[in-house]
Amino acid sequence: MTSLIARLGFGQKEKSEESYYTAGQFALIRARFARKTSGVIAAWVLFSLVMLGLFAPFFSPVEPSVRGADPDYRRGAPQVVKFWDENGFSWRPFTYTYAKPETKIDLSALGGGGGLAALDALTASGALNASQQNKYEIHRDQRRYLQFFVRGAEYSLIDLSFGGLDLDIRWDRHLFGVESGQIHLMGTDEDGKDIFSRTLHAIWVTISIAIVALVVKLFASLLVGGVSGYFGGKVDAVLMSITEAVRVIPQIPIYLACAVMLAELELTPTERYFAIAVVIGALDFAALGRRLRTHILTERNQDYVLAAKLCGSNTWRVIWRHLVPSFTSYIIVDTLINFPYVILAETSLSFLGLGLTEPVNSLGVLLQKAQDPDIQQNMVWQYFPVLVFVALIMAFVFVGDALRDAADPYSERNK
Amino acid sequence: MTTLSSNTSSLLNIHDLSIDFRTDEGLVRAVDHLDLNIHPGEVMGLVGESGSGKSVTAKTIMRLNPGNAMIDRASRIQLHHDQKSIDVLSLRGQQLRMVRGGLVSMIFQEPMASFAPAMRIGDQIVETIQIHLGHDREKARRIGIELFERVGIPFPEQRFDQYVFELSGGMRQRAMIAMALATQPRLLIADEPTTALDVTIQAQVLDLMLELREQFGMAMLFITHDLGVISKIADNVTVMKRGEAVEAGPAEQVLFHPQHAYTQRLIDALPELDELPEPPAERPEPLVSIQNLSIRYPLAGGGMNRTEFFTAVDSVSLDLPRGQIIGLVGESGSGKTSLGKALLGASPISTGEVSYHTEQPFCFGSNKTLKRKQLAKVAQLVFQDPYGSLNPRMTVRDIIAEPLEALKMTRSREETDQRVIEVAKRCHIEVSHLRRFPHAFSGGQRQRISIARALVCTPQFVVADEAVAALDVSIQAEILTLLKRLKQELGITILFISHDLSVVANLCDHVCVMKQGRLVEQGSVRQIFLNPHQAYTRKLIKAIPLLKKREPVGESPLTLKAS
Repeated sequence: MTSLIARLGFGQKEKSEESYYTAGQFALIRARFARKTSGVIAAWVLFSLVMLGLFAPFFSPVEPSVRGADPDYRRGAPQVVKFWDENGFSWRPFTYTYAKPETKIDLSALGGGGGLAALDALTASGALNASQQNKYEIHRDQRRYLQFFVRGAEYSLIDLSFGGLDLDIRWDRHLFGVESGQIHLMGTDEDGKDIFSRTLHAIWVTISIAIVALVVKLFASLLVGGVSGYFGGKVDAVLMSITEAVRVIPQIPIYLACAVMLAELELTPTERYFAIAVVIGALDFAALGRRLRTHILTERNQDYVLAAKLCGSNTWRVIWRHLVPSFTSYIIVDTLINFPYVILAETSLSFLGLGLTEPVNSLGVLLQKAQDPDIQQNMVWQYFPVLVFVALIMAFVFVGDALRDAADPYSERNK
Repeated sequence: MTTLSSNTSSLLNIHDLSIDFRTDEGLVRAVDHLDLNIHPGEVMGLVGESGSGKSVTAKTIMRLNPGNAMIDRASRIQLHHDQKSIDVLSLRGQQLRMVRGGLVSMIFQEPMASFAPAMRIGDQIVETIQIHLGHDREKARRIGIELFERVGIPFPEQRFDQYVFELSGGMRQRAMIAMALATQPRLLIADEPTTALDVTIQAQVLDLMLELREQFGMAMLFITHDLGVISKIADNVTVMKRGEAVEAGPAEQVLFHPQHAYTQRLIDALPELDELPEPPAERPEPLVSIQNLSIRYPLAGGGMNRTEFFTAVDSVSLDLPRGQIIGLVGESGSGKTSLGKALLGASPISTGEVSYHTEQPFCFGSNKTLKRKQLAKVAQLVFQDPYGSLNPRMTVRDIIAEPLEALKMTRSREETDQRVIEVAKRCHIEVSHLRRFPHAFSGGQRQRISIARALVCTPQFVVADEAVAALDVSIQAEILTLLKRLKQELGITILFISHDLSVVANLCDHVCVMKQGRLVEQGSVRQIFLNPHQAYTRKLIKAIPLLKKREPVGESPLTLKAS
C-alpha cells in the first residue's frame, strides 16, 4: 500500500541528480509512467485482474466445469454475503442457504393418457415457464459462514509439464468457501455452473489467446517491417505491396473463413484455441509491420547509426546494438495497446459462434451466452462477465495510453 | 552595471523584466530582473550564449511567449511612440496586433520556416500591408515590390510571385526583411538573422540592414551569439548570462574594454587572425592521398531512361600532410562534407581513389572495394551534431567502447575499460561520468564524448565535420584547444571541415578551399589568409565578421592586421 501511495505521487522522494543521469531507458519510462495517476490506477486494476485469472482455481470457490456444477441450484441467483441481519451481527461474513423449491410437475397426467389436453393444462399452469424455474427460497435461519483456505476440488496451481519438463504443483485449497454446499457469489447458469468461477477462469483463457496472438503478430511484423526497413529498395517495395494486400482484406470475413476451415478439421478445444490465436496474430501484422518499417527507415539514417558503421560495426551489430533498442519501448507499448483489440477479435469470433464454444470458459463464450433472451430476462447475473470484460479492456487501454506517453523518454530531449 | 538613462525619449523601455518557465522540474528562471532601453534609431546588440534568455526577451516584447512562461508582476515593458506610452504587457486583442507587426516587427533565424510554404511570398507581404496600413491590394503590391527592390532582390516583380522554396537562403532573408519593413516599424527585432547564412551572404545582409536603418530611421534590437557580427552592427551592447544582464554600454566600450569577467571570457574565446603560424620548412609526407575523386548523386525526376546526376565533388586530387590539421572550407553546398565522408567510405565514390599511406598501405575507390574494418582502425569521424551522433540508449562507456568492441581490439572487458578510461581522461571526461547516459550532458561535453569515441582505437586520421559549429563560442574554444593538444600529443592528422574561416585560421596548418565541388585553392594557413590567389578565397576572407573597430567600408581587416 505504501508503494501505491508513493506511486500516486503523494510521498514521492526527491531523486538525486546522479540517479537521473545514470537512468537507463526503462528507468526513465517508469518514472514518467508513475506521474500519470490514471495509468497507475489502471495498472493496478490490470495487475489484479491478471492475477485473478492466472490463479483462477485458487480464487474461485467452485470448479467451473460440469463436474463442479451444483445440480440442486441451477439457474440460481447470486448469493449475497452479509455481516449482519435481523438475527444479529457476525464478524465472520455469512450467506444464507438458498434452495430451489421441489419442482411439482405432475407428469402422471401425461402418462395417464390425458394426451394433448393434459400437456396444454401443464403448460398453462406455468410450471414449465423459465421464470418459474428461476424461483428459489432463502432460508434466513440457516446461515452458511464463509471459510477461508478451505479444502475443495483439487487443481494444479502451476503446471509446467510440457516438453519433457515435469512440474505440476497440485493443491486443493481455495481462497474461500462455505462449510456445507457451495457458494455462488454471482449465481449459477442453467447447468448449475458457478458464474463467478467461470468468469475468473475465462480471463486467463482469453488473455493467453491474446498473448499467443500478439507473439505471432510480433514475429511476423518484426520480420516484415525489419527486413523492409533495413534493406529498403526493391525488397521494401515487394514486402510492402504484400502487406497492403493483406491490409485491404476485411478482417471479419477472413476470420469467418478460417473458423469454417477450423471447424472442418478435427481439433480438440485446446488445438482449436491455439489455431485461433495464430490466425488472429498472423492476419494482424500489417499495421505494426508498416510502422516498424517507417521507424527503422528514419532511425537508420540517424547520425549514431552512421557512427556505429564507421566504428566498424557489422550489420548484425548495428541492428542488435543500435536499432533494436531504439524500438523496444515502442514495441512494448504497441503490444499493450493492441491487447484489447486482440481480445475483442477473440470475443467477436466466439460471439459469432465460430471461435471457442461451450463448455470452454472464455470471455467470448460467456459474452455469447449473454445474448440469449432467456438470460436477458431471467438471469441478468450472467452479465457479470460483461462487466469484467469492460474493466479488463479499459484497464489495458488506460495502461497502454499512459505507457505511450511515457514511452520514448528521449523524444523531447533530442529536440 | 551601467544603465542607460531611462527617460521618455527612449523608444522601448524594459524595466525589471523577470520570466519563469513552468517545467516538470519546477520553475526555471529564463530572464532575471532585466533592464533595457532602446532609443529611436539605435541598434542595440543583445549578446549571450545559448540559454541566456535573449530570444525569450525578444519574444516577450512581441508577446509571443509560450503558454508556460510566467512574467513577473513587477515587470514593465513600455513603448513610447507619438507622445504616447504603450504598456506592452497589458495589451490585448486588436491593440496587441497593431503593435505586433506594426510598431514592432521581427526577423527570425530560419527564413524558410518563417514563411508559409504554400503561400506566395508576395501575398504574405501584401496581407501584412493591407492589415496594418489599410491600403488596397494594388497599392499594397506596389509597396511590396518597391520594398523588394530596396532590399536588393533582383527581378523583384518575378520574385514577388514565387514561393519560399524557390529562393536561396540569402534571398529568403532579404524577403523576410522586406516583410518586416513593410509596415514601417519603429523597432525591428532581429533574432539571429544571419546565423543560418553563409559567411559571404551574412556580410551582405548585415550591410543591407545597416543601410536600411539609415533610410528608415528605425531602431533595432539585434540578437546574436556572434561578437564579430555585433561589433559590425551595434551602437550599444547588452551582454546576458543566465537571464541577467551582466554588462551594458556603448559597443566600443563593452567590446574593447569589457568590465565584467564573463564578457572578457567571451571576447578571449574569439578566434583571432593575427597569430598565423609559419609553415614548416618542408612539407611532411602525405598520410592520405585523393586522386581524381568525384561524387555524383542521382537526381530524382530525371528522364525516363537517363538518370541525371548532381555532382557534389568534381575530380578533386589532394594530399593530406601527415600530422597536420588541414582545414577544408567553403560555402554550404560546396561538397566539403561529401568529400570528408568519402575519405571514410561513407559517401559513394563515382570515380577516383583514396589511398592511405599507413604501415599497411591500402586504397579504395570506384573500382576497388573498401575493407571497412581496416579503415575503421585508421580513420574516424567526429560529427557536427553532438545530439544525433550519440546513441541515447547507451551509456557513455558503451559509446566510447563501441569501436573497440566492434573491431575486437581488446581481449577482455577490463582491457576495454582501461582503454576507455585512458581516452576519457585525455578528453577531459570525468571517469565517474562514464556510467551516465548522453541525456545528462551539454553540447560541449557530448562533443568530447564523440571525440573520445573517435580516438579510442588510436586512429591516425580523424575527420571533424563542422565539429564546433553547433557549440557556443566559449565551449568552441575549449574543443579547439583539445583538438590542438591531441594533434601534438598523439601526432594524428585531422581534416577539419568548417564554414567558419576564423576558426580554421586559428586551428589549422593547411587550408583547402572548395567551391561548387571543385578544389579552388590550397596552401599553408598563412599563405591562404594573407596572400590568397583566388578571388573567391579573397571574398570569403573579407566576409569574416571580425571583432574590430568600425573602419571605413571596403578595407580588408587583414591588411591592417598583417601590416
